[in-house]
Amino acid sequence: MSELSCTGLRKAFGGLVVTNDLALGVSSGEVHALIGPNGAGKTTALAQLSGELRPDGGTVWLDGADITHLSLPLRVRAGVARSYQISSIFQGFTVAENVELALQATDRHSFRFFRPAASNTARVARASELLDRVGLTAAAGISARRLAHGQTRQLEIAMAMASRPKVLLLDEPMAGMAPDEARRLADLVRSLASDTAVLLVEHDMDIVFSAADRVSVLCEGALIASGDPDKIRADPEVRRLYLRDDSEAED
Amino acid sequence: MAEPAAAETRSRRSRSERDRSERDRFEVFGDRSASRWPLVLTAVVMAALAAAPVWVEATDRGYLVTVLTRVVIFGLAAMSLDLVVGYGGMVSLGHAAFFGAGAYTAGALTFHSLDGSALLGIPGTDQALITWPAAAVIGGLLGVVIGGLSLRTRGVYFIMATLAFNQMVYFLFNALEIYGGDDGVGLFAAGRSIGPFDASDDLVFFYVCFAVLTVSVVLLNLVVRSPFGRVVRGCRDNQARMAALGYQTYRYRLAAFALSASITSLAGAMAVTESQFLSPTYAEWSESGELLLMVIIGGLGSLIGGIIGAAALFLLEEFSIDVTDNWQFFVGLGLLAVVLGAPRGLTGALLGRERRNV
Amino acid sequence: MQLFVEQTLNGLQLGFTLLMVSAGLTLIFGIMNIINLAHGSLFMVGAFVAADVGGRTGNYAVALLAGTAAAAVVGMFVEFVLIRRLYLRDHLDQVLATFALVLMANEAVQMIWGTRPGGVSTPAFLDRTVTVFPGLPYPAYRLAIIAAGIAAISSLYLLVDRTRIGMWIRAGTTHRELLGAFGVNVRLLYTLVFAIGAGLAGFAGVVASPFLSVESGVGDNFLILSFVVIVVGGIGSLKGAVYGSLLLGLVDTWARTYLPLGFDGFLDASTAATVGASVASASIYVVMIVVLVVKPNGLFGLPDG
Repeated sequence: MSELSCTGLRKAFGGLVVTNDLALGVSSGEVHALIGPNGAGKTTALAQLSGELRPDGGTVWLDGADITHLSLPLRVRAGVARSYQISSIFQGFTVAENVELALQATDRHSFRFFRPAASNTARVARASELLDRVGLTAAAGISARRLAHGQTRQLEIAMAMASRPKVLLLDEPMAGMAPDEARRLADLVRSLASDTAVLLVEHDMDIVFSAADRVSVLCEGALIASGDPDKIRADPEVRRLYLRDDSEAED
Repeated sequence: MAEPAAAETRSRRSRSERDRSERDRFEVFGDRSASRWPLVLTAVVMAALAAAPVWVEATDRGYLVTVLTRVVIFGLAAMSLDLVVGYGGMVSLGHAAFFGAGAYTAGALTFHSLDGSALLGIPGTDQALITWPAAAVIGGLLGVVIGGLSLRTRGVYFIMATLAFNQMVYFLFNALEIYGGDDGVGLFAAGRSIGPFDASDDLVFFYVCFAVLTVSVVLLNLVVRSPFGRVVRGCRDNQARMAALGYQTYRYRLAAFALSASITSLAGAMAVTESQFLSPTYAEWSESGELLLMVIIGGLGSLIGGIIGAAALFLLEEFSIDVTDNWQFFVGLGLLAVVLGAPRGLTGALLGRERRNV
Repeated sequence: MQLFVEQTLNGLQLGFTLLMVSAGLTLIFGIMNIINLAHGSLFMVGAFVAADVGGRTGNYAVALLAGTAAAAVVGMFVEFVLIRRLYLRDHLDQVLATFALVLMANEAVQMIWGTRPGGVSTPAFLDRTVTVFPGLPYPAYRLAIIAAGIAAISSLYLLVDRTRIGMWIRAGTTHRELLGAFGVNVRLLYTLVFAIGAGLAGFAGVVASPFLSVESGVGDNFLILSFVVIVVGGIGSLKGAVYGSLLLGLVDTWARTYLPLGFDGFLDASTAATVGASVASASIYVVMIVVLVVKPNGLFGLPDG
């Protein structure tokens, strides 16, 4: 059963087509990785799925309902959450407060004016539950500004999970991490799939092939291959694409 | 040609760097885990302000009581502007419109009660228990309209739009010939009725205003620590991220703007009751700049900073006007020094926070 | 019909005056990303210096030159001493620092020239009327302002579009970080752009002063009108400044003429004049509100992003 999907998605900036008739789906219980060379349009595709960017054409579906015209916040409420490539946590807040802020977005208490935010025990409890899950319990009380890079990625994921999403869109969550750190985060992402569908944009092929159930390859905005990791690994076009990419990098 | 994804990343990175520098400046007090010192400072300032009239009376400088009353009134407006600028990250250069709206609401009601005529079918009154709340309501509504339109824009645009609306309101008051046009009108025959009391005595009136200020200080400190206050701070730090968490950010920012407008308008009504003179100068654009100046001199994102800034400005005026008519020149010089040298204002200096990295 | 032609010309004259102020503001914002509240003070400097020099020499041309040059020099000085410290600051710092300049400028002109309003009189050779339309004599000076506005904006356009400096300015507007890579002396370029904007504002201050009483704060209203122009036209867009200025100049003038006449139909004459005048004073803001609702980034502004 497909949870989030798109059909015929198109987007162009001026004359540059960045999303070209894209059809993609991610189902509950799976980690679906989206790969492709730099500039293939992965982040742009993600932005259209999450609602930050209006597509020029095509439809985005969630559980069979057309959500193409829902704004970003309304899509979060409908069950689509995302994390960012560049960590964008709230530096002036503590780690726990960051998660509480994310929880508060969907618990409808945000128009309470006079009760101290810290006094909502249910929310505080759920925040520590989420921090536990991503392995940040020890850091709960410190200022988010003081987190190490890898920890900010973990916090990002805890915040994205706060809305109990049906679908989680992760934009290069392992970028800039040390290999063993990245491996631990990949395990975490794997474990999330029991609760939610995960669409993962990632560069690191080792992680993609070990963590993903399904892999789709984007090139110049269009889908050129999709299937299980073994099939993609063997796909001649994908091999050619990545070889070409390597040779360009050597110039 | 740069690849779009790379360009995207670059632009987002530079934006986030800018965000960071803006964020740091707004965090005078840091996060929740921060110390109790801000609240201690608030209590000390309020206690000093409460004692000040007694002290000036005791030292035979009773004429300073009205200056202190103005500190309270303008401090209230500056503090509510801090909610928008310091906590909400919305640089409003149009708050004098709300101050003026409050002044004209209370002033017009008082004018018609003296005149015996009706205002749009409503009889006038000089009862502050009616005129002040009426001003708060009108100011809040005007805040919804001006904020609702201006918040459709961002950054520099928002600053320009609020300033433009300020000027619009100012010209509107200038055109109200019935209240003396640009000359304004005196309301000296009216008393300062507050419930059953007559607060014509300056000392009594000071404590009435001080009571309003105290209630507002408590309420606003609760608001910035509430779930709502957290959302407003979050929108200041990273609006896009708040949207990605599921917040419809426009609503929260507008609510904060309207609340601030309402309190500023209340302060405007108090100012008219204090001076018993109604004129468009309350709504002059330079007044918006001066409110912002008080906030910044006192310390952004601290609430109490607005009151400290108002005190600093009025005391400077009081003591320098004998020396030179052009004391505002030196206010400008001082403001430049604060902006270039101590961006966290007096509060930041008092609490010993490190300077912002620029 | 005569009234319409006359008021349209008045509107164009206001529009071109406004354009000279807002074009400089737009240029400065576009290339240096700075909001300058003291731009109105440069207008004021132009007006005051021209009033002073005009009073001494009785020569309008000398006064015009002196006012424009003084504004440009003051602008250059202020950029050198203060503004360049603000390029990397956030907009709040820029607002506050330039507001401080406004306070200081308003006091400084009083310290130098006193509080008595001065004025610049129309030069003798333009102090006559021209028949622009059958039966409509029109002041030559106002026509000259329109011509001067067209000339000033055309030369600005040629400067930006056809010269090497203009190429840098255009490059700086879209790709600020590239300028240094081209080997351009960015600091000098910024000082130069600021001086050009300041000179334009000063020029506007001189040519508009026969209609104004030259007193402290005289430029503030033009500053705020320029902000309305920019909100309507779109930030950083010279084209937006041109259309915005002319649109607002015309709307304001027409509204002041025709609204009181319109209210005359169903109100008594004095009420109609009052109501009409107050609605007319809000007319340009109504335009701004419509733009904010329909196109929040301005008529010629870029979409979000």
